[in-house]
Amino acid sequence: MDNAKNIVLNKRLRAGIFNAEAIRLKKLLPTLSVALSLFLHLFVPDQQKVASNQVYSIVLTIFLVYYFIRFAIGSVRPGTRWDNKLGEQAPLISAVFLLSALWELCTQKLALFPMPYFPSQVKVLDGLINDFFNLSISAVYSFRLLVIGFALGTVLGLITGILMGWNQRFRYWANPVLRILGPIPSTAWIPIVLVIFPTSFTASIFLLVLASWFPVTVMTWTGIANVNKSYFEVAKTLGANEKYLIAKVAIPAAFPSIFTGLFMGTGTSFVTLIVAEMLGVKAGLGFYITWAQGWGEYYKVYAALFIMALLFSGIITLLFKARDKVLVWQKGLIKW
Amino acid sequence: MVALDHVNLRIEPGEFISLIGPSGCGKSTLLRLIAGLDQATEGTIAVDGETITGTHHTRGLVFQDPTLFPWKNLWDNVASGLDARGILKHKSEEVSAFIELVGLKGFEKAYPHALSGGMAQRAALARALVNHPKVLLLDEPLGALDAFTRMNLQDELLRIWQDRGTTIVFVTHDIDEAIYLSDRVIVMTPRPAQIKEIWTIDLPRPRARNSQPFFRYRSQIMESFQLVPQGGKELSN
Repeated sequence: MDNAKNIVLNKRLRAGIFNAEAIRLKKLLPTLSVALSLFLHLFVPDQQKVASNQVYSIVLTIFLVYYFIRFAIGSVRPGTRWDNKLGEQAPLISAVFLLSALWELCTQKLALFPMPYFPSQVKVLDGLINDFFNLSISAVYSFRLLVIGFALGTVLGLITGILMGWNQRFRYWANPVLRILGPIPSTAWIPIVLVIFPTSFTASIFLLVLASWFPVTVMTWTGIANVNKSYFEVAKTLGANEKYLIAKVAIPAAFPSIFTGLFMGTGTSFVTLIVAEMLGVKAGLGFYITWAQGWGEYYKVYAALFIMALLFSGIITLLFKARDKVLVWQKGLIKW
Repeated sequence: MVALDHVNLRIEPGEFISLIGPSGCGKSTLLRLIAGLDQATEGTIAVDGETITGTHHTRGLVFQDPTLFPWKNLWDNVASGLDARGILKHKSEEVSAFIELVGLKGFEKAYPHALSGGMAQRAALARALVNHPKVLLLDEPLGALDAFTRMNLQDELLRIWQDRGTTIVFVTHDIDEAIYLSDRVIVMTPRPAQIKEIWTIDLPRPRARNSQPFFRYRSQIMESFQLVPQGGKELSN
Protein backbone atom coordinates (compact mmCIF):
# COMPACT_ATOMS: atom_id res chain seq x y z
CA MET A 1 0.00 0.00 0.00
CA ASP A 2 2.75 2.38 0.95
CA ASN A 3 4.49 1.81 -2.35
CA ALA A 4 1.38 2.50 -4.34
CA LYS A 5 0.84 5.78 -2.54
CA ASN A 6 4.38 6.88 -3.29
CA ILE A 7 3.98 6.25 -6.97
CA VAL A 8 0.83 8.33 -7.17
CA LEU A 9 2.53 11.18 -5.38
CA ASN A 10 5.53 11.05 -7.69
CA LYS A 11 3.41 11.17 -10.80
CA ARG A 12 1.58 14.24 -9.57
CA LEU A 13 4.76 15.99 -8.69
CA ARG A 14 6.24 15.33 -12.10
CA ALA A 15 3.06 16.39 -13.84
CA GLY A 16 3.19 19.63 -11.86
CA ILE A 17 6.74 20.36 -12.89
CA PHE A 18 5.97 19.51 -16.48
CA ASN A 19 2.98 21.92 -16.43
CA ALA A 20 5.07 24.77 -15.07
CA GLU A 21 7.62 24.22 -17.81
CA ALA A 22 4.93 24.07 -20.48
CA ILE A 23 3.47 27.37 -19.29
CA ARG A 24 6.91 28.96 -19.24
CA LEU A 25 7.52 27.72 -22.78
CA LYS A 26 4.12 29.06 -23.83
CA LYS A 27 5.14 32.52 -22.67
CA LEU A 28 8.21 32.32 -24.88
CA LEU A 29 6.05 31.61 -27.95
CA PRO A 30 5.46 35.27 -28.92
CA THR A 31 9.21 35.95 -28.82
CA LEU A 32 9.89 32.88 -30.94
CA SER A 33 7.27 33.69 -33.56
CA VAL A 34 8.43 37.31 -33.86
CA ALA A 35 11.99 36.01 -34.22
CA LEU A 36 10.86 33.67 -36.99
CA SER A 37 9.03 36.51 -38.78
CA LEU A 38 12.12 38.69 -38.54
CA PHE A 39 14.36 35.90 -39.78
CA LEU A 40 12.15 35.22 -42.82
CA HIS A 41 11.83 38.93 -43.52
CA LEU A 42 15.61 39.48 -43.44
CA PHE A 43 16.93 36.38 -45.15
CA VAL A 44 14.41 35.26 -47.77
CA PRO A 45 15.06 37.27 -50.95
CA ASP A 46 12.32 39.65 -52.19
CA GLN A 47 10.45 39.11 -55.48
CA GLN A 48 8.67 42.45 -55.21
CA LYS A 49 10.17 45.87 -54.65
CA VAL A 50 9.26 47.69 -51.43
CA ALA A 51 10.71 50.76 -49.75
CA SER A 52 10.02 50.08 -46.08
CA ASN A 53 11.99 46.86 -45.50
CA GLN A 54 14.20 48.55 -42.92
CA VAL A 55 11.29 50.15 -41.07
CA TYR A 56 9.51 46.81 -40.96
CA SER A 57 12.67 45.18 -39.55
CA ILE A 58 12.82 47.85 -36.86
CA VAL A 59 9.15 47.33 -36.00
CA LEU A 60 9.68 43.58 -35.68
CA THR A 61 12.84 44.09 -33.63
CA ILE A 62 10.95 46.33 -31.22
CA PHE A 63 8.30 43.62 -30.81
CA LEU A 64 11.03 41.01 -30.37
CA VAL A 65 12.75 42.97 -27.62
CA TYR A 66 9.39 43.82 -26.00
CA TYR A 67 8.12 40.25 -25.79
CA PHE A 68 11.51 38.93 -24.74
CA ILE A 69 11.71 41.44 -21.87
CA ARG A 70 8.20 40.49 -20.76
CA PHE A 71 9.17 36.84 -20.88
CA ALA A 72 12.40 37.49 -18.96
CA ILE A 73 10.71 39.56 -16.24
CA GLY A 74 8.05 36.86 -15.94
CA SER A 75 10.76 34.23 -15.51
CA VAL A 76 12.35 36.16 -12.67
CA ARG A 77 9.08 37.17 -11.01
CA PRO A 78 6.36 34.77 -12.14
CA GLY A 79 2.69 35.05 -11.21
CA THR A 80 2.25 38.81 -11.53
CA ARG A 81 -0.83 40.01 -13.40
CA TRP A 82 1.37 41.25 -16.24
CA ASP A 83 2.97 37.80 -16.47
CA ASN A 84 -0.33 35.88 -16.38
CA LYS A 85 -1.72 38.11 -19.10
CA LEU A 86 1.23 37.21 -21.32
CA GLY A 87 0.46 33.52 -20.82
CA GLU A 88 -3.18 34.15 -21.70
CA GLN A 89 -2.40 36.15 -24.84
CA ALA A 90 0.62 34.12 -25.99
CA PRO A 91 -1.18 31.79 -28.44
CA LEU A 92 -3.08 34.68 -30.02
CA ILE A 93 -0.03 36.95 -30.41
CA SER A 94 2.03 34.09 -31.80
CA ALA A 95 -0.67 33.18 -34.30
CA VAL A 96 -0.88 36.80 -35.48
CA PHE A 97 2.90 37.01 -36.13
CA LEU A 98 3.04 33.58 -37.78
CA LEU A 99 0.14 34.43 -40.10
CA SER A 100 1.76 37.74 -40.90
CA ALA A 101 5.03 35.94 -41.74
CA LEU A 102 3.08 33.54 -43.94
CA TRP A 103 1.44 36.48 -45.74
CA GLU A 104 4.79 38.11 -46.36
CA LEU A 105 6.13 34.83 -47.77
CA CYS A 106 3.16 34.43 -50.11
CA THR A 107 3.31 38.01 -51.40
CA GLN A 108 6.62 39.81 -51.23
CA LYS A 109 8.91 36.81 -51.03
CA LEU A 110 7.33 34.32 -53.45
CA ALA A 111 4.90 36.59 -55.41
CA LEU A 112 2.13 33.97 -55.41
CA PHE A 113 -0.71 36.49 -55.68
CA PRO A 114 -1.29 39.03 -58.45
CA MET A 115 -0.19 42.58 -57.82
CA PRO A 116 -1.29 45.29 -57.13
CA TYR A 117 -4.31 43.76 -55.38
CA PHE A 118 -2.44 41.76 -52.74
CA PRO A 119 0.41 43.85 -51.37
CA SER A 120 2.57 42.58 -48.52
CA GLN A 121 2.28 44.30 -45.14
CA VAL A 122 5.63 45.95 -45.85
CA LYS A 123 4.14 47.53 -48.96
CA VAL A 124 1.17 48.74 -46.90
CA LEU A 125 3.70 50.22 -44.51
CA ASP A 126 5.09 52.08 -47.54
CA GLY A 127 1.68 53.60 -48.02
CA LEU A 128 1.34 54.54 -44.35
CA ILE A 129 4.73 56.25 -44.34
CA ASN A 130 4.72 57.94 -47.76
CA ASP A 131 1.18 59.19 -47.55
CA PHE A 132 1.10 59.80 -43.84
CA PHE A 133 0.02 63.41 -44.23
CA ASN A 134 -2.92 62.70 -46.54
CA LEU A 135 -4.02 59.73 -44.48
CA SER A 136 -4.03 61.65 -41.22
CA ILE A 137 -5.90 64.58 -42.78
CA SER A 138 -8.45 62.10 -44.14
CA ALA A 139 -8.77 60.39 -40.77
CA VAL A 140 -9.28 63.73 -39.02
CA TYR A 141 -11.98 64.73 -41.55
CA SER A 142 -13.81 61.42 -41.16
CA PHE A 143 -13.55 61.58 -37.40
CA ARG A 144 -14.91 65.12 -37.27
CA LEU A 145 -17.90 64.23 -39.45
CA LEU A 146 -18.57 61.10 -37.47
CA VAL A 147 -18.43 62.75 -34.06
CA ILE A 148 -20.64 65.70 -34.98
CA GLY A 149 -23.15 63.60 -36.93
CA PHE A 150 -23.36 60.77 -34.44
CA ALA A 151 -23.60 63.10 -31.44
CA LEU A 152 -26.41 65.12 -33.03
CA GLY A 153 -28.23 61.99 -34.17
CA THR A 154 -27.92 60.42 -30.73
CA VAL A 155 -29.24 63.48 -28.93
CA LEU A 156 -32.18 63.74 -31.34
CA GLY A 157 -32.78 59.99 -31.08
CA LEU A 158 -32.81 60.11 -27.30
CA ILE A 159 -35.27 63.00 -27.29
CA THR A 160 -37.59 61.34 -29.83
CA GLY A 161 -37.34 57.96 -28.12
CA ILE A 162 -38.09 59.35 -24.66
CA LEU A 163 -41.02 61.39 -25.96
CA MET A 164 -42.39 58.36 -27.82
CA GLY A 165 -42.04 56.17 -24.76
CA TRP A 166 -43.70 58.72 -22.50
CA ASN A 167 -46.20 60.80 -24.44
CA GLN A 168 -49.20 59.14 -26.06
CA ARG A 169 -49.91 62.02 -28.45
CA PHE A 170 -46.31 62.38 -29.55
CA ARG A 171 -46.16 58.65 -30.22
CA TYR A 172 -49.33 58.87 -32.32
CA TRP A 173 -47.78 61.46 -34.67
CA ALA A 174 -44.16 60.30 -34.63
CA ASN A 175 -44.79 56.59 -35.10
CA PRO A 176 -45.71 56.73 -38.83
CA VAL A 177 -42.74 58.99 -39.58
CA LEU A 178 -40.43 56.59 -37.79
CA ARG A 179 -41.92 53.56 -39.49
CA ILE A 180 -41.84 54.94 -43.03
CA LEU A 181 -38.62 56.99 -43.03
CA GLY A 182 -36.59 55.07 -40.45
CA PRO A 183 -35.96 51.84 -42.34
CA ILE A 184 -34.66 53.61 -45.48
CA PRO A 185 -30.88 53.19 -45.39
CA SER A 186 -29.54 56.70 -45.01
CA THR A 187 -27.10 56.01 -47.87
CA ALA A 188 -30.10 55.87 -50.20
CA TRP A 189 -30.64 59.59 -49.56
CA ILE A 190 -27.16 60.49 -50.82
CA PRO A 191 -28.12 61.56 -54.37
CA ILE A 192 -30.88 63.88 -53.10
CA VAL A 193 -29.10 65.17 -50.02
CA LEU A 194 -25.90 66.07 -51.87
CA VAL A 195 -27.93 68.28 -54.20
CA ILE A 196 -30.23 69.86 -51.64
CA PHE A 197 -27.67 70.85 -49.00
CA PRO A 198 -25.40 73.86 -49.61
CA THR A 199 -22.16 72.04 -48.74
CA SER A 200 -21.13 68.41 -48.78
CA PHE A 201 -20.19 68.84 -45.11
CA THR A 202 -23.73 69.72 -44.00
CA ALA A 203 -25.07 67.03 -46.34
CA SER A 204 -22.97 64.34 -44.68
CA ILE A 205 -23.86 65.60 -41.22
CA PHE A 206 -27.51 65.22 -42.15
CA LEU A 207 -26.92 61.68 -43.44
CA LEU A 208 -25.09 60.66 -40.27
CA VAL A 209 -27.80 62.17 -38.08
CA LEU A 210 -30.36 60.16 -40.04
CA ALA A 211 -28.27 57.01 -39.72
CA SER A 212 -27.87 57.15 -35.95
CA TRP A 213 -31.23 58.75 -35.14
CA PHE A 214 -33.36 55.79 -36.19
CA PRO A 215 -31.79 52.96 -34.13
CA VAL A 216 -31.28 55.20 -31.09
CA THR A 217 -34.92 56.34 -31.23
CA VAL A 218 -36.33 52.83 -31.60
CA MET A 219 -34.21 51.32 -28.83
CA THR A 220 -34.82 54.22 -26.42
CA TRP A 221 -38.55 53.99 -27.04
CA THR A 222 -38.50 50.19 -26.58
CA GLY A 223 -36.44 50.53 -23.42
CA ILE A 224 -38.81 53.03 -21.85
CA ALA A 225 -41.94 51.16 -22.93
CA ASN A 226 -40.61 47.97 -21.33
CA VAL A 227 -39.79 49.42 -17.91
CA ASN A 228 -41.42 47.38 -15.15
CA LYS A 229 -44.53 49.35 -14.12
CA SER A 230 -43.90 48.61 -10.43
CA TYR A 231 -40.84 50.88 -10.51
CA PHE A 232 -43.09 53.80 -11.43
CA GLU A 233 -45.65 52.83 -8.78
CA VAL A 234 -43.03 52.57 -6.05
CA ALA A 235 -41.51 55.88 -7.12
CA LYS A 236 -44.95 57.52 -7.06
CA THR A 237 -45.70 56.33 -3.52
CA LEU A 238 -42.29 57.72 -2.54
CA GLY A 239 -43.41 61.15 -3.71
CA ALA A 240 -41.92 61.30 -7.21
CA ASN A 241 -43.27 63.82 -9.72
CA GLU A 242 -43.34 63.25 -13.49
CA LYS A 243 -39.92 64.80 -14.01
CA TYR A 244 -38.40 62.40 -11.52
CA LEU A 245 -40.22 59.44 -13.08
CA ILE A 246 -38.69 60.23 -16.48
CA ALA A 247 -35.20 61.29 -15.47
CA LYS A 248 -34.55 59.01 -12.51
CA VAL A 249 -36.69 55.97 -13.26
CA ALA A 250 -37.57 55.57 -16.95
CA ILE A 251 -34.23 56.60 -18.44
CA PRO A 252 -31.89 54.65 -16.14
CA ALA A 253 -34.14 51.60 -16.42
CA ALA A 254 -33.96 51.92 -20.22
CA PHE A 255 -30.17 52.33 -20.33
CA PRO A 256 -29.38 48.73 -21.37
CA SER A 257 -31.70 49.10 -24.35
CA ILE A 258 -30.44 52.62 -25.10
CA PHE A 259 -26.88 51.31 -25.32
CA THR A 260 -27.97 48.64 -27.78
CA GLY A 261 -29.36 51.51 -29.87
CA LEU A 262 -26.08 53.41 -29.59
CA PHE A 263 -24.10 50.38 -30.79
CA MET A 264 -26.47 49.92 -33.72
CA GLY A 265 -26.20 53.65 -34.40
CA THR A 266 -22.40 53.60 -34.55
CA GLY A 267 -22.56 50.69 -37.00
CA THR A 268 -24.92 52.45 -39.38
CA SER A 269 -22.93 55.69 -38.96
CA PHE A 270 -19.69 54.00 -40.04
CA VAL A 271 -21.33 52.62 -43.17
CA THR A 272 -23.01 55.91 -44.03
CA LEU A 273 -19.84 57.92 -43.41
CA ILE A 274 -17.65 55.84 -45.70
CA VAL A 275 -20.24 55.51 -48.46
CA ALA A 276 -20.99 59.25 -48.35
CA GLU A 277 -17.29 60.03 -48.63
CA MET A 278 -16.88 57.59 -51.49
CA LEU A 279 -19.79 59.04 -53.44
CA GLY A 280 -19.62 62.77 -53.01
CA VAL A 281 -17.67 64.23 -50.13
CA LYS A 282 -14.22 65.33 -51.24
CA ALA A 283 -12.37 64.42 -48.04
CA GLY A 284 -12.09 61.65 -45.49
CA LEU A 285 -11.00 58.03 -45.50
CA GLY A 286 -13.79 56.92 -47.85
CA PHE A 287 -12.72 59.54 -50.36
CA TYR A 288 -9.08 58.54 -49.91
CA ILE A 289 -9.91 54.91 -50.71
CA THR A 290 -11.69 55.73 -53.99
CA TRP A 291 -8.91 58.13 -54.87
CA ALA A 292 -6.15 55.54 -54.25
CA GLN A 293 -8.15 52.95 -56.13
CA GLY A 294 -8.38 55.35 -59.07
CA TRP A 295 -4.59 55.40 -59.26
CA GLY A 296 -4.41 51.63 -58.85
CA GLU A 297 -2.49 52.08 -55.61
CA TYR A 298 -4.14 49.29 -53.68
CA TYR A 299 -1.51 49.27 -50.95
CA LYS A 300 -2.78 52.73 -50.00
CA VAL A 301 -6.30 51.34 -49.89
CA TYR A 302 -5.09 48.79 -47.38
CA ALA A 303 -3.29 51.52 -45.44
CA ALA A 304 -6.56 53.47 -45.24
CA LEU A 305 -8.42 50.33 -44.15
CA PHE A 306 -5.85 49.87 -41.40
CA ILE A 307 -6.36 53.43 -40.13
CA MET A 308 -10.13 52.92 -40.35
CA ALA A 309 -9.91 49.75 -38.28
CA LEU A 310 -7.95 51.60 -35.58
CA LEU A 311 -10.35 54.54 -35.59
CA PHE A 312 -13.64 52.60 -35.56
CA SER A 313 -12.44 49.94 -33.16
CA GLY A 314 -11.27 52.73 -30.87
CA ILE A 315 -14.71 54.36 -30.96
CA ILE A 316 -16.46 51.06 -30.23
CA THR A 317 -14.05 50.40 -27.36
CA LEU A 318 -14.80 53.82 -25.89
CA LEU A 319 -18.52 53.11 -26.13
CA PHE A 320 -18.06 49.76 -24.38
CA LYS A 321 -16.07 51.47 -21.63
CA ALA A 322 -18.83 54.03 -21.18
CA ARG A 323 -21.42 51.26 -21.05
CA ASP A 324 -19.45 49.30 -18.44
CA LYS A 325 -19.33 52.44 -16.32
CA VAL A 326 -23.00 53.32 -16.67
CA LEU A 327 -24.30 49.75 -16.35
CA VAL A 328 -22.14 48.57 -13.44
CA TRP A 329 -25.36 47.45 -11.79
CA GLN A 330 -26.05 44.86 -14.48
CA LYS A 331 -24.95 41.28 -14.07
CA GLY A 332 -23.25 39.28 -16.81
CA LEU A 333 -22.00 42.05 -19.09
CA ILE A 334 -19.63 40.85 -21.81
CA LYS A 335 -16.20 42.34 -21.46
CA TRP A 336 -14.77 44.04 -24.54
CA MET B 1 -65.07 43.47 -12.66
CA VAL B 2 -65.91 44.37 -9.10
CA ALA B 3 -63.00 43.71 -6.80
CA LEU B 4 -64.34 45.32 -3.66
CA ASP B 5 -67.90 45.74 -2.50
CA HIS B 6 -69.26 47.63 0.50
CA VAL B 7 -66.01 47.82 2.38
CA ASN B 8 -66.38 50.05 5.41
CA LEU B 9 -63.44 50.23 7.70
CA ARG B 10 -62.11 52.67 10.22
CA ILE B 11 -58.45 52.36 11.04
CA GLU B 12 -57.17 54.05 14.19
CA PRO B 13 -53.91 56.02 14.25
CA GLY B 14 -50.96 53.82 15.16
CA GLU B 15 -52.96 50.66 14.64
CA PHE B 16 -51.54 47.49 13.11
CA ILE B 17 -54.20 45.97 10.86
CA SER B 18 -54.00 42.80 8.81
CA LEU B 19 -56.16 41.96 5.83
CA ILE B 20 -56.45 38.27 5.14
CA GLY B 21 -58.49 36.38 2.62
CA PRO B 22 -58.24 33.95 -0.28
CA SER B 23 -55.75 34.95 -2.96
CA GLY B 24 -57.13 37.22 -5.64
CA CYS B 25 -59.93 38.40 -3.35
CA GLY B 26 -59.11 42.07 -3.66
CA LYS B 27 -56.92 42.68 -0.61
CA SER B 28 -54.23 44.18 -2.81
CA THR B 29 -56.81 46.31 -4.59
CA LEU B 30 -57.84 47.81 -1.27
CA LEU B 31 -54.20 48.53 -0.50
CA ARG B 32 -53.65 50.14 -3.90
CA LEU B 33 -56.72 52.29 -3.33
CA ILE B 34 -55.34 53.52 -0.02
CA ALA B 35 -51.96 54.12 -1.65
CA GLY B 36 -53.68 56.16 -4.33
CA LEU B 37 -52.41 54.03 -7.22
CA ASP B 38 -55.95 53.08 -8.24
CA GLN B 39 -59.17 55.10 -8.01
CA ALA B 40 -62.34 53.74 -6.46
CA THR B 41 -65.36 53.66 -8.80
CA GLU B 42 -67.69 54.34 -5.89
CA GLY B 43 -67.15 55.59 -2.37
CA THR B 44 -64.16 57.32 -0.88
CA ILE B 45 -61.15 56.67 1.26
CA ALA B 46 -59.99 59.40 3.57
CA VAL B 47 -56.86 59.78 5.67
CA ASP B 48 -57.18 62.31 8.51
CA GLY B 49 -60.39 63.52 6.89
CA GLU B 50 -58.76 64.16 3.54
CA THR B 51 -60.05 62.16 0.57
CA ILE B 52 -57.34 60.26 -1.31
CA THR B 53 -57.00 61.35 -4.94
CA GLY B 54 -53.52 60.13 -5.74
CA THR B 55 -50.26 58.91 -4.31
CA HIS B 56 -48.59 60.81 -1.50
CA HIS B 57 -45.30 60.30 0.25
CA THR B 58 -47.09 60.03 3.60
CA ARG B 59 -48.55 56.72 2.44
CA GLY B 60 -45.67 54.31 1.84
CA LEU B 61 -46.09 51.02 0.01
CA VAL B 62 -43.99 47.84 0.03
CA PHE B 63 -44.80 45.05 -2.44
CA GLN B 64 -44.18 41.33 -2.11
CA ASP B 65 -41.41 41.80 -4.67
CA PRO B 66 -38.94 44.30 -3.16
CA THR B 67 -38.82 46.22 -6.51
CA LEU B 68 -35.60 47.94 -5.56
CA PHE B 69 -34.32 50.06 -8.42
CA PRO B 70 -31.62 47.76 -9.89
CA TRP B 71 -29.56 50.70 -11.19
CA LYS B 72 -29.14 52.22 -7.73
CA ASN B 73 -27.06 50.84 -4.90
CA LEU B 74 -28.70 50.19 -1.56
CA TRP B 75 -28.01 53.66 -0.14
CA ASP B 76 -29.37 55.42 -3.21
CA ASN B 77 -32.40 53.14 -3.21
CA VAL B 78 -33.26 54.01 0.37
CA ALA B 79 -32.58 57.67 -0.40
CA SER B 80 -35.04 57.64 -3.36
CA GLY B 81 -37.96 59.09 -1.42
CA LEU B 82 -35.98 62.06 -0.12
CA ASP B 83 -34.36 62.50 -3.53
CA ALA B 84 -37.74 62.52 -5.28
CA ARG B 85 -39.00 65.17 -2.89
CA GLY B 86 -35.83 67.22 -3.32
CA ILE B 87 -34.90 67.22 0.36
CA LEU B 88 -32.07 64.67 0.27
CA LYS B 89 -29.39 67.29 0.86
CA HIS B 90 -30.60 68.27 4.32
CA LYS B 91 -31.60 64.79 5.42
CA SER B 92 -28.94 62.45 4.06
CA GLU B 93 -27.98 61.26 7.55
CA GLU B 94 -31.52 59.87 7.90
CA VAL B 95 -30.86 57.47 5.04
CA SER B 96 -27.97 55.91 6.93
CA ALA B 97 -30.07 55.85 10.10
CA PHE B 98 -32.84 53.85 8.43
CA ILE B 99 -30.36 51.49 6.80
CA GLU B 100 -29.01 50.83 10.27
CA LEU B 101 -32.54 50.45 11.65
CA VAL B 102 -33.29 47.57 9.28
CA GLY B 103 -29.90 46.01 9.97
CA LEU B 104 -28.19 46.60 6.63
CA LYS B 105 -25.30 48.75 7.80
CA GLY B 106 -22.22 47.92 5.74
CA PHE B 107 -24.18 47.03 2.60
CA GLU B 108 -24.76 50.62 1.45
CA LYS B 109 -22.70 50.23 -1.73
CA ALA B 110 -24.22 46.87 -2.74
CA TYR B 111 -26.42 46.70 -5.84
CA PRO B 112 -29.80 44.92 -5.54
CA HIS B 113 -28.75 41.89 -7.60
CA ALA B 114 -26.18 41.11 -4.90
CA LEU B 115 -28.72 41.15 -2.04
CA SER B 116 -30.62 38.15 -0.71
CA GLY B 117 -34.43 38.18 -0.72
CA GLY B 118 -34.60 39.10 2.97
CA MET B 119 -32.03 41.86 2.66
CA ALA B 120 -33.77 43.31 -0.38
CA GLN B 121 -37.08 43.35 1.49
CA ARG B 122 -35.47 45.11 4.48
CA ALA B 123 -34.07 47.68 2.07
CA ALA B 124 -37.53 48.15 0.54
CA LEU B 125 -38.91 48.69 4.03
CA ALA B 126 -36.23 51.26 4.82
CA ARG B 127 -36.96 52.99 1.53
CA ALA B 128 -40.64 53.33 2.51
CA LEU B 129 -39.82 54.39 6.10
CA VAL B 130 -37.39 57.14 5.17
CA ASN B 131 -40.34 59.36 4.20
CA HIS B 132 -41.81 59.03 7.73
CA PRO B 133 -45.13 57.76 6.34
CA LYS B 134 -48.24 58.20 8.48
CA VAL B 135 -49.57 55.00 6.92
CA LEU B 136 -47.39 52.08 5.87
CA LEU B 137 -49.05 49.73 3.39
CA LEU B 138 -47.47 46.30 3.16
CA ASP B 139 -48.65 43.96 0.40
CA GLU B 140 -47.53 40.46 1.42
CA PRO B 141 -44.04 41.83 2.03
CA LEU B 142 -42.78 38.61 3.61
CA GLY B 143 -44.62 36.23 1.27
CA ALA B 144 -41.60 35.25 -0.79
CA LEU B 145 -39.22 34.66 2.11
CA ASP B 146 -38.23 31.45 3.85
CA ALA B 147 -39.75 30.67 7.26
CA PHE B 148 -36.74 31.77 9.35
CA THR B 149 -36.13 35.05 7.57
CA ARG B 150 -39.83 35.62 7.72
CA MET B 151 -40.21 35.26 11.49
CA ASN B 152 -37.12 37.34 11.93
CA LEU B 153 -38.55 40.15 9.84
CA GLN B 154 -41.92 39.92 11.57
CA ASP B 155 -40.18 40.75 14.85
CA GLU B 156 -38.24 43.57 13.27
CA LEU B 157 -41.40 44.95 11.74
CA LEU B 158 -43.04 44.98 15.16
CA ARG B 159 -40.00 46.65 16.67
CA ILE B 160 -40.03 49.38 14.02
CA TRP B 161 -43.79 49.83 14.35
CA GLN B 162 -43.60 50.19 18.14
CA ASP B 163 -40.63 52.49 17.74
CA ARG B 164 -42.20 54.83 15.19
CA GLY B 165 -45.92 54.58 15.90
CA THR B 166 -46.78 54.30 12.20
CA THR B 167 -50.20 53.00 11.23
CA ILE B 168 -49.69 49.75 9.34
CA VAL B 169 -52.05 48.00 6.95
CA PHE B 170 -50.67 44.57 6.26
CA VAL B 171 -51.94 42.22 3.56
CA THR B 172 -51.15 38.56 4.02
CA HIS B 173 -52.65 35.12 3.46
CA ASP B 174 -50.82 33.65 6.41
CA ILE B 175 -53.21 33.41 9.38
CA ASP B 176 -50.40 32.93 11.93
CA GLU B 177 -48.58 35.97 10.65
CA ALA B 178 -51.73 38.06 10.92
CA ILE B 179 -52.42 36.97 14.51
CA TYR B 180 -48.80 37.37 15.55
CA LEU B 181 -48.53 40.93 14.25
CA SER B 182 -51.86 42.69 14.36
CA ASP B 183 -54.14 44.59 16.66
CA ARG B 184 -57.03 43.65 14.43
CA VAL B 185 -57.37 40.99 11.72
CA ILE B 186 -59.83 41.74 8.93
CA VAL B 187 -61.11 38.60 7.22
CA MET B 188 -62.27 39.20 3.64
CA THR B 189 -64.65 37.12 1.50
CA PRO B 190 -63.77 35.94 -2.02
CA ARG B 191 -64.22 38.35 -4.92
CA PRO B 192 -65.96 40.74 -4.84
CA ALA B 193 -64.31 41.18 -1.46
CA GLN B 194 -66.40 42.21 1.48
CA ILE B 195 -65.42 42.35 5.10
CA LYS B 196 -66.53 39.09 6.60
CA GLU B 197 -65.24 39.30 10.14
CA ILE B 198 -63.08 41.53 12.23
CA TRP B 199 -61.04 39.91 14.97
CA THR B 200 -59.47 42.01 17.68
CA ILE B 201 -56.38 40.16 18.83
CA ASP B 202 -56.31 40.81 22.52
CA LEU B 203 -52.93 39.36 23.35
CA PRO B 204 -49.97 41.14 24.94
CA ARG B 205 -46.79 41.45 22.87
CA PRO B 206 -44.42 39.70 22.39
CA ARG B 207 -46.88 36.97 21.47
CA ALA B 208 -46.00 33.32 21.81
CA ARG B 209 -46.80 31.55 18.57
CA ASN B 210 -47.34 28.30 20.48
CA SER B 211 -49.62 29.56 23.28
CA GLN B 212 -53.18 28.34 23.83
CA PRO B 213 -54.88 31.70 23.16
CA PHE B 214 -52.88 32.04 19.96
CA PHE B 215 -54.09 28.63 18.82
CA ARG B 216 -57.64 29.55 19.71
CA TYR B 217 -57.61 32.65 17.51
CA ARG B 218 -56.07 30.58 14.81
CA SER B 219 -58.66 27.84 14.84
CA GLN B 220 -61.50 30.36 15.03
CA ILE B 221 -60.21 32.24 11.99
CA MET B 222 -59.59 28.98 10.16
CA GLU B 223 -63.14 27.97 10.88
CA SER B 224 -64.43 31.13 9.32
CA PHE B 225 -62.56 30.11 6.15
CA GLN B 226 -64.03 26.60 6.54
CA LEU B 227 -60.52 25.23 6.69
CA VAL B 228 -61.30 22.98 9.67
CA PRO B 229 -63.64 20.02 9.18
CA GLN B 230 -67.09 20.69 10.71
CA GLY B 231 -67.45 19.02 14.07
CA GLY B 232 -63.68 18.62 14.37
CA LYS B 233 -62.42 18.61 17.94
CA GLU B 234 -61.44 21.99 19.30
CA LEU B 235 -58.61 22.49 21.70
CA SER B 236 -59.83 22.79 25.23
CA ASN B 237 -58.21 24.66 28.06
